[in-house]
Formats: sequence, C-alpha cells, structure tokens
Amino acid sequence: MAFFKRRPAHNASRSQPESPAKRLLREHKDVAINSWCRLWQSPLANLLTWLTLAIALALPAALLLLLSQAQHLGQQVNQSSHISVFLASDVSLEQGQLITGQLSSRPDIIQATYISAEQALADFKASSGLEDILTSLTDNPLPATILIEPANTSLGPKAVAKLTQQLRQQDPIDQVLVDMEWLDRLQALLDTSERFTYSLALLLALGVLLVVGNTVRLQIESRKQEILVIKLVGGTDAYLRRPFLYAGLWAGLFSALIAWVILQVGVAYLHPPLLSLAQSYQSDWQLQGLSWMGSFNLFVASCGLSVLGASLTVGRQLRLIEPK
Amino acid sequence: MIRFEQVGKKYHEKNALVSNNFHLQRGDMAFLTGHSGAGKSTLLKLIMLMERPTSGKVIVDREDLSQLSRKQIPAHRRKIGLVFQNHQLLMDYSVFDNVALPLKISGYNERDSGRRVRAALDKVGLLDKEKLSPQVLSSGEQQRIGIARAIVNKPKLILADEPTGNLDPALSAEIMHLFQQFNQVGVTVLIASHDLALIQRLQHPVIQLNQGRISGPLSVMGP
Repeated sequence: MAFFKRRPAHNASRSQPESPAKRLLREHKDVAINSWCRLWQSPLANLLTWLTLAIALALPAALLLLLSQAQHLGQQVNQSSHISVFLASDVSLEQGQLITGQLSSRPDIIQATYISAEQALADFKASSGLEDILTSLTDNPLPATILIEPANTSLGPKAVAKLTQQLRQQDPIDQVLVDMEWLDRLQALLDTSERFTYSLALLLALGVLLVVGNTVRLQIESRKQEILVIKLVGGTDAYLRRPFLYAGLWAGLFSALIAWVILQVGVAYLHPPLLSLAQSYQSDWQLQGLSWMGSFNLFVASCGLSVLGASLTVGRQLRLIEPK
Repeated sequence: MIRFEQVGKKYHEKNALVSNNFHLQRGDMAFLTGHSGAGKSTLLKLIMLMERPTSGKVIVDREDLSQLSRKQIPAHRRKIGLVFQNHQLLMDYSVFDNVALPLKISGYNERDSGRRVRAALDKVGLLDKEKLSPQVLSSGEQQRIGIARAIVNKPKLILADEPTGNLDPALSAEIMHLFQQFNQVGVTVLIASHDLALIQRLQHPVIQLNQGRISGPLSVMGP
C-alpha cells in the first residue's frame, strides 16, 4: 500500500521537519492565535473575568499611584519648611539685623529674612482682618522674627532638628518654631499608607492568581474529552499546557488594559477637586496619571500574575485527567 | 514487536491478568479475543502505558516499558496507532482536524500535515468529507475516520479495541479488510474483538484470553 511507503529521497527532504527553534516558534504562534480565537467563543464570560481581574489590579495600582505622588508632595513640603526664630522683646532693630546677617552666613542656612515686630503686626493686620482690634492695642504683642530657610532639609528631619537645637542655644533668641511634628506625622502617615497599600496589593495579587486558576480549571474541565484524546495520541504535557498558558496571558493583557482605563478615568475624575485643594495651599501640585513606566509595570504585573496563576493550576489539573 | 513476559495486573487485589507470555512478531497481525472482562482491554492498556503491570515485563518495539518514565509516555504513544470501539472523535473538530491531531502534536507544518491527512482520508475512502463535522457521519464512517487518525502518523504498530463493535457485518468486514491492507505493507496489527465469526474467516493468529490468562499458545483458527 502506497500510504505506508517511505517517500523517495528528494520528496523526503522536502518534508523534513524544520529546525527545532523554528518549529517551536510556529507552534507557539499557532497556539497563540488559536487561544485568541477561542476567547471570542464566550466573550461575555471572559469579559466578566477580565473585569474582576482589572478591579483587583486597579485598586492597588491606584493606591500606589496616589502614594507615590503624596510622598513626592511630602518631600516638597519638607524641603520648603521654614524655621521661625522669635527674638526676645528687648532686642533692637540693629541687633536683630546683625543676628540675621550672622545666620545668613551659616552654611546650613540658605536664607534668613528679618521681620521686625512692626512689620509682623502690619502683615498680621492685613491678613487676619482683625485690623480694628489690633489698632486698639497699646503695645505690639508680636516679637521680631527671623524666617530661616534651612539648606539641607533634603537630608531629612534630623538635620533640621540639629539646626533648631543650635539656634535655641543662641542668647537673644526667645523661641524657635519648626513644623517638625507635623512633618513627622505626615511621614508616619505615609509609611502606614505604604504598608497598607503593599499588603492590599499582595492580597489582591493572590486574588488574581486564584481567579485565573479557577478560570483555567473550568476551561480544562470543559475540554476534558479533547485533553483525553490528545493524551491518547501522544500529546506531551507541554503541548497540553500551552493553550491554557496563552489563555492566561490574554486574560492578563485584557485585564491590564481595562485596569489602565479605570485608572486614567479615575485620575481625570479626581483631578479638579484635588487641583483646587492644592491651589488653596498655594501649591502647583497636580495629580498625574500613570506614566509610561507605570503603565508598563501594570501590564507586566498583570500578565505575569495571570500566566503564573494559569501555570500553577494547569499542571495539577492535567494530571487529574488520565485515559482509563 | 510486542512481547509479554510473565505479565500480571491486579486491580484492588482482583486479578485482571495472570502471568501471561506472548510474542507478536514484527509485521504480524493477530486477534485478541475472550469474553467481556477477560482482560482484553487491560492488555491493550498495558501496551499503551495507560496502565502499568503489577508484575512481569512488557516490551514494545524492543523497549522495556517499565523503563519509561511518565515524561516518555507521549513519545511511546506516538509510535502506536490506536483505534477505539467508540472511535473517540472530537465532535467540535472537523474531520480533517481530527485526523490531523497526531501530526499537529508531532509538530508537522501545515503543508506536510495536509498532504498526509488527505492521503489517510483517501485510504479510508472519506476524502470528500474532510470539512464536515464527524457528528453528521454514519458510525461506519466515524470509525473509518478513527482509523485514518490512527494511521496518519504511519505507525509501526496499530492497536484496535473492538473496532467493529458497533458495526453491521458488512461494514465490519470492510474495516477488517482495511487492517489487513495495513498489515500487508508491514504494519504490526493487534485487534481485540469478540466477533468470532469474522475472526475465523480472516485466518490470523488468535490470542484467546480466559479470566486473565492466555489459554494455549497463539493459534490460527481455521474455518
């Protein structure tokens, strides 16, 4: 029978298998296309899965986004923090200006500005709206002040604390005020938010793994007969695993896309009130959407988690299906 | 091609096969018969590595199957063409895709695979049905597609488990004739069947299983 005969040499060479790498690439391409086409056989079910995954991704991503920008803002606030040095009431204008000059020449101070008691009162009158009451006072209750902008606040709160300590020990200085406590609290709040966000991200990543794993388990269940036949005609585990890993990859890709849209829409929605809040503090801070790098990370995390979730399930499930 | 040495298989302390020896030479065609539950399917499963023997040694194509790890099973199965009583076709695949499955698994490209699939379909006389779903075909046609799938890889060994179990005598004879044709070009064929009338007409060695034991040496049952 001709069917079982070996082909002549020239014909055989034509049907020689291609190189292993080329073959693997072709097989992967085929499986990728096939599993892509399979997605659209049950679009609604897939869409629901992707939405679930997208929400699980968007939530920690949004918190991370807010957190990184809040940390940036915190740093800005930290850098622009001033130290107010209140001079004793018996210090004269000349003395005050002299001290201000001395302070300005310190390397750890960028700028020292002298505000006389009279100027302070005038400023206060103008900004407080309590002009009548203030005018009726016989004495000026306000001390002369030197506003100091420290040089190395970017080195952290410790440097500021050291400078403050030194200023307190100087003689005609009555009181030194710095917003250190507020900064400490902000930092602690940011640290707490950071840990909370990371914990939440970890839990939701676990959620993504479980959702993808469960979806793949159902897919395997619905293709049980096919898997049995493929095992009987000699399909390897790798061959059987591949379509489900690609299904995981597509799920990761689509859910990342949906999560990205959710994030960008969310940022656009939050932007106006946050902008007016920032403006009320004379800040030019703006809520930024996901950067290119952030978007890339979102897609990598989503696809990585989905493929991992699929691969964790698929091996175990495939072992359960054996021809009997 | 197939050698059983003292092969036994127990399921839950119940003997399915008891220390069997037989040897099927390369290029032979033989029938495996016996009442239901005699161990026919178990014997085929041991050759396909769907089961492992409890005792003894199964050697297929000079390879001791007990030496094969789980990972090596697929490669072993690709060497064997398997035909089932219930044909095990995938109804959501076309006829062409069903037959092409073993080639796809072996990594054939589309051109070579297409040529081989059509040759196999031509061999079983169903070349014009390649685009149809197996669901719309008769059971005889479905069985022939199952056979086309079993031979598409040009295996050296074909195993068939009750391939004519659901077919009328005329169709059964036709199917058996196909197996004889494969055997004539050197393929080793082992067919489990209890269709004694048909087996007697075909004059091939018969392995008779009785309660898990091969009763007597291989024999040719005369007419």
